[in-house]
Amino acid sequence: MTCKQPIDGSPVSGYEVPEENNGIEIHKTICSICNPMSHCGIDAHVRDGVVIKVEGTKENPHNGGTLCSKGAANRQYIYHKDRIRTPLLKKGGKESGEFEPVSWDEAMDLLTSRLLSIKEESGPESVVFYAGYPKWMRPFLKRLAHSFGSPNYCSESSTCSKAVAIANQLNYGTAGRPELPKTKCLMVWSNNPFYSNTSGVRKLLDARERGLKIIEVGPLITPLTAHADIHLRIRPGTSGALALGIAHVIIEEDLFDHDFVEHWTLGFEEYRAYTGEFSPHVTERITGVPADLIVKAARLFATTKPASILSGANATVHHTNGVQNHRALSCLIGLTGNYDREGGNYVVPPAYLYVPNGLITRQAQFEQSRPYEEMPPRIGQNRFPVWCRLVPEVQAMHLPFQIESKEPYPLRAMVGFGLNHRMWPASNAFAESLKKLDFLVNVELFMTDSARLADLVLPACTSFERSELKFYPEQYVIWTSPALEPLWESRPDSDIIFEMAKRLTPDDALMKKGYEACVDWMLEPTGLTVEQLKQYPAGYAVKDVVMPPYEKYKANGFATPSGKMEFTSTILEEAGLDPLPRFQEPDLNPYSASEAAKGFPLILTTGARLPMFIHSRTFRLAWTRSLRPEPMADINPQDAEDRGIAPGDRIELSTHRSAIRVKANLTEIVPPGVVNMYHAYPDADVNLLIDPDYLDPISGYPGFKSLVCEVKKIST
Amino acid sequence: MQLGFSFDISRCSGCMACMVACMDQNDLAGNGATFRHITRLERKASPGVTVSFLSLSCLHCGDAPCIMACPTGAIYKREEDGIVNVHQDLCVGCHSCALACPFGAPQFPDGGKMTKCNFCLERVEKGMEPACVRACPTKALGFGPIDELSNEKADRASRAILSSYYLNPGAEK
Amino acid sequence: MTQSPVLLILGNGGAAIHAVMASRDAGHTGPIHLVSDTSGPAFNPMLAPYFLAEKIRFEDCFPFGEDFYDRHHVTCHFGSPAATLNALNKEVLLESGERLSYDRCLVATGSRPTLPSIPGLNNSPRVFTLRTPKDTIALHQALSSTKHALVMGASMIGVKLAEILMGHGIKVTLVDVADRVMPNAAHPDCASHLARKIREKGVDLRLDSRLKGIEDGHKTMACHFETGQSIEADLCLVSTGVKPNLDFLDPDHVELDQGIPVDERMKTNAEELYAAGDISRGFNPVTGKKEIIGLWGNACWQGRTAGLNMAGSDTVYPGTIPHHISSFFGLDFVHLGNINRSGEDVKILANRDFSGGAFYLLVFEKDILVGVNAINTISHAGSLKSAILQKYVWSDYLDFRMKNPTDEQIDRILASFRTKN
Repeated sequence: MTCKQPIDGSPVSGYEVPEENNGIEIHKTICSICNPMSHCGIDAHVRDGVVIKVEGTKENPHNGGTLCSKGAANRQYIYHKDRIRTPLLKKGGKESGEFEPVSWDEAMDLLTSRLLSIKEESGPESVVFYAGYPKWMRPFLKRLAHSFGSPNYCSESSTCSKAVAIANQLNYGTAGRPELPKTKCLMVWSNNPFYSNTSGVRKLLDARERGLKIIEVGPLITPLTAHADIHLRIRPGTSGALALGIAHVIIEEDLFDHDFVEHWTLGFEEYRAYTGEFSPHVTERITGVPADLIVKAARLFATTKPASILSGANATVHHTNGVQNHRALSCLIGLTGNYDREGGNYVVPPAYLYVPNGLITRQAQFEQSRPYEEMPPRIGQNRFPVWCRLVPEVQAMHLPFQIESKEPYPLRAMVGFGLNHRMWPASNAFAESLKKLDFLVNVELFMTDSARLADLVLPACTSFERSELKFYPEQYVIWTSPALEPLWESRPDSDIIFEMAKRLTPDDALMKKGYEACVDWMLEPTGLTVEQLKQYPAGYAVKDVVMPPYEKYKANGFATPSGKMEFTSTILEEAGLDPLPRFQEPDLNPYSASEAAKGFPLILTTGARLPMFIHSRTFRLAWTRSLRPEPMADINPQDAEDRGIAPGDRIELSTHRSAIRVKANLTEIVPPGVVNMYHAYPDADVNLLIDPDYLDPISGYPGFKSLVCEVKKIST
Repeated sequence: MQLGFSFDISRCSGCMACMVACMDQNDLAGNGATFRHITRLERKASPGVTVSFLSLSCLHCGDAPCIMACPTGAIYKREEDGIVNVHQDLCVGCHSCALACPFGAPQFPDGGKMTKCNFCLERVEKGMEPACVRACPTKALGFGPIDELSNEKADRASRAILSSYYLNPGAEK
Repeated sequence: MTQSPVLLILGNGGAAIHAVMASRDAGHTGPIHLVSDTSGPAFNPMLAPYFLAEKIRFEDCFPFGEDFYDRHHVTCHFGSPAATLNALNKEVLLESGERLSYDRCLVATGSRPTLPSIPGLNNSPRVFTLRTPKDTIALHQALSSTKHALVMGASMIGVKLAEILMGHGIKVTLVDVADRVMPNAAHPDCASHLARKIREKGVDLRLDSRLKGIEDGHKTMACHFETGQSIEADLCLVSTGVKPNLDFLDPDHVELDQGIPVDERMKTNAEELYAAGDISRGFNPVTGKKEIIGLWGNACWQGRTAGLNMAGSDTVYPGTIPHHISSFFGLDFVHLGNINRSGEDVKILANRDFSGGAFYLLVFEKDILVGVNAINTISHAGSLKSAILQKYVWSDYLDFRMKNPTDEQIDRILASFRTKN
């Protein structure tokens, strides 16, 4: 199917408002460029099978007609000239960048025969299944992997959100989110909702207008800072110390919830003794936050009822001390009696694809088609036992190590959906590891560097070209219908997975029934069906959803080994690790005497959000790229002046491992002593600067946000 | 009736959704000529810095200086809604309007004729909002007849003042 | 005055036309008389180069249309300019002999091109100026038979005309007595870049160059330079300056100073006598002095102000600064204000090496922006003009040690001024 569009940039529209007689129709769909907290409803204006305008869907309660700069650029995403049009087979050897188009039949035949023969020779566990962004196809891919016999399903969650979940699970067994309309004090910890949650942030501003108190924790000044009552500007990597310092004040001033602590927690006395070490002055010395602010914030948080903590998906855990950092801050919720309470961190389990809304589906049962016990050990099982205990995935940061070592078994093939090798620290080394695989498949939209590493590339289509199930927190559900036919020969990822299932896992009776049947199976507890949802192309507001009660622990206990909230974690203790939320400096810090730190006096933090990009997804779109054309590192003007760096100068940013060249953006949003570099640029990949084993030993997450570096001006 | 934009600088996060929604609406090439423009301002505060963002497009001025400056009469103001628009066929690309406008609204994307924000007139004529206003995730941008906007602003300001009485702990309800 | 006053407007250019429109908008219902040496619809001389460059038709040079006078109920006295104006009796005598009395009068007679006093220049049929519709047609007709043109005056219009002539395949020699192009509009550092580009494009540019005589020959004319050199040209186009049309005014009745000084209401020192457009010396709010600012937009604003006031309103126009924006030879060029300031209060910020294909030169006096040149980076021209007029103090925002001002920095500073609170 050819695409009628000009392939450079977006199709030209000559705008007209859609009306009955002018052939322009509004097709409802969703944007899939960023993460599951958004996926804004979209009105696609279509004329002659071409999208000529995109808008936010007004009736979708989640985004309410709004969009971010990325969603607004969807036409340049869909019609980009880099979109892969056909399955592509690599010609020549691994180093070759040459591909030839093949048919889908040829591609799938090759994929089937290679994977089945590799399975035969080396066991299904030697095949890795990976899901990057977007996430909608994950349940099907995970099921496919396990039905195939491989325990080795992994995803981008190896660096995002799961480590926070681990920390919460260690403390509470579950996680709660702030009940925003009812909370009176919100501590926003390492999160920038203006750039990472544009579809929700207006509700935060409205709550602020109604008098919500906000405490912001984070090293950077963000758009939230102007709305915060208190900004605790921490040194990157010291969240744990700050949290313990706040707990110190709360306990010492007797502001904690006695009833909750007495009846529902384990290890309070050890915790209390440990927080004793974190007086406001000690905490100030470690974190850089003034002692009086620590006290003020602690009092505000503990005495405002109800209060809650909103944290980012990964900023607190992208450290070598990450999980314990997050445990420490998460403890504050229970300590102050705000866990699973009205207006506090209310526990609502995720219903579908990470989104909680009071509904229940069978997603977890669907995807775990075979228990781990019945399969060979996962990659990294020994190295990350706590991860493997709590997370039903592989910690993919261990992939390059096992590819090299071949222990306990060799890895021979990988099927990736949106695999971006730059997600890994020492990304160039990971690329080399990937080349060592006998068979690498990447399903992609665009011909990325990572796609070029593959033996077989399969063209996926965008959200506008497929059907998918989407749950919103507002009890709103949508089964999207395509706004246009898949362009060229691209296909929905679901089509690809179900075709693979037909060929690779013919015994999986449920998968055999097909995509919609599987979705119906998962939806069963809700009473909704795909057929029903098709009647509501813009989305369906589910009526009479019964939200779970508060304080569920009173009836069921906590889902921890002790049945209580654990200041001292049983699971960590069993794994031979420190049960308390122990604070340790990040492995690379300005006080470190290690070789790797010598000569690198500045702190480097990476991976913060920019509003016009998400990871690497919209660099290639002219509209979003024009908003910030060049890779730039944020540097404090004082640090710049000390190094003779003027605004816009080209600089070299280096760590002991490597260096990249970028432009200097002098700004006070970073404190003196800290450099902030944005990630994922193919031409300035900051992950080159990070060692592959610079990981949190508990979660396996890379220490993206606390490193050390130096910066120097380079002449043009 | 004069249409105008409202802009709440305290809500704007510089996300630039408005800029891209406008590019999408007008098929701009994304090479520099934009009808709406965000400027980032960092001002020293004590401690640290305050960062704010200013989103500006053509303001469709009451006594638009571009109209007076235009030698061919290509630029005109619509009676029904006060939108300042350009007759492209009369424009000779002299740039006089660009020099007259204090806000940098006139654009010359191909180096030729002038084009700029036209308040999404095809949309407002049908009762829709401009593309930028629709997209804005924080609702910093709004639009409407100028006299109604002033009322809204006064309303918000009053509520902000009053809320500090009702929501202060210890204050009487 | 119990009846509606009689308004008399001398002139038929931008100022005059806007005065007519404004007085009617302000509710003037009485007679309006308009006197002009030309006949027919008002002409915008700014548009003549576009016609010569074949970008627009001749009729497009008349932006107000033929029916303007009927629509605005104007009694026209065309083809006969004013011969004398008696400001005491409030009476104008036209060259035709007609006498017109007025209650209020606007002098908007503009200016005419001058020819330098070079022997042979005055009488030659091959010498052209460009100001009126007649000039425009005549020059247009001469182009097809022109192979080599001499353009006198490397002002902005001179350079533009050189480009237009070259567009017709004509070889151009561009001459100026000054040692740089556009001496009032371009700072020497800027002018040198422009001159280089002009020469690169094939113009024979001769600066610091005087002609001592023109000799009309059979087919061509010989142009003799003081250096002894001569060239043969088919056509000479003079754009060395203009002179205000005020010969009909009595300096004993009306204060004259190479133009007619006016206040913010466009009033002259004579009773009920207004002036607007290229003939007037209005305020330059930056210098505080009264200057002739021969710009179309300025003329329109002045005409409108005069018209409103003549109709009984009370409106002021604070004036403007000289400002130009022009494209020629692949460059975009901007001039604002006064770029020739010097002294210890003056600081200049410029990327003189033309790095990145763009040139900024910002002239500050006591940290206030007073003049700008820009080449190829013109997106902030209007905002910078506004900044000059508003007399913003830049020292809070600008580090004067900065070497190369960039668009981004300037954008931020301008936004800071707008959001100051």
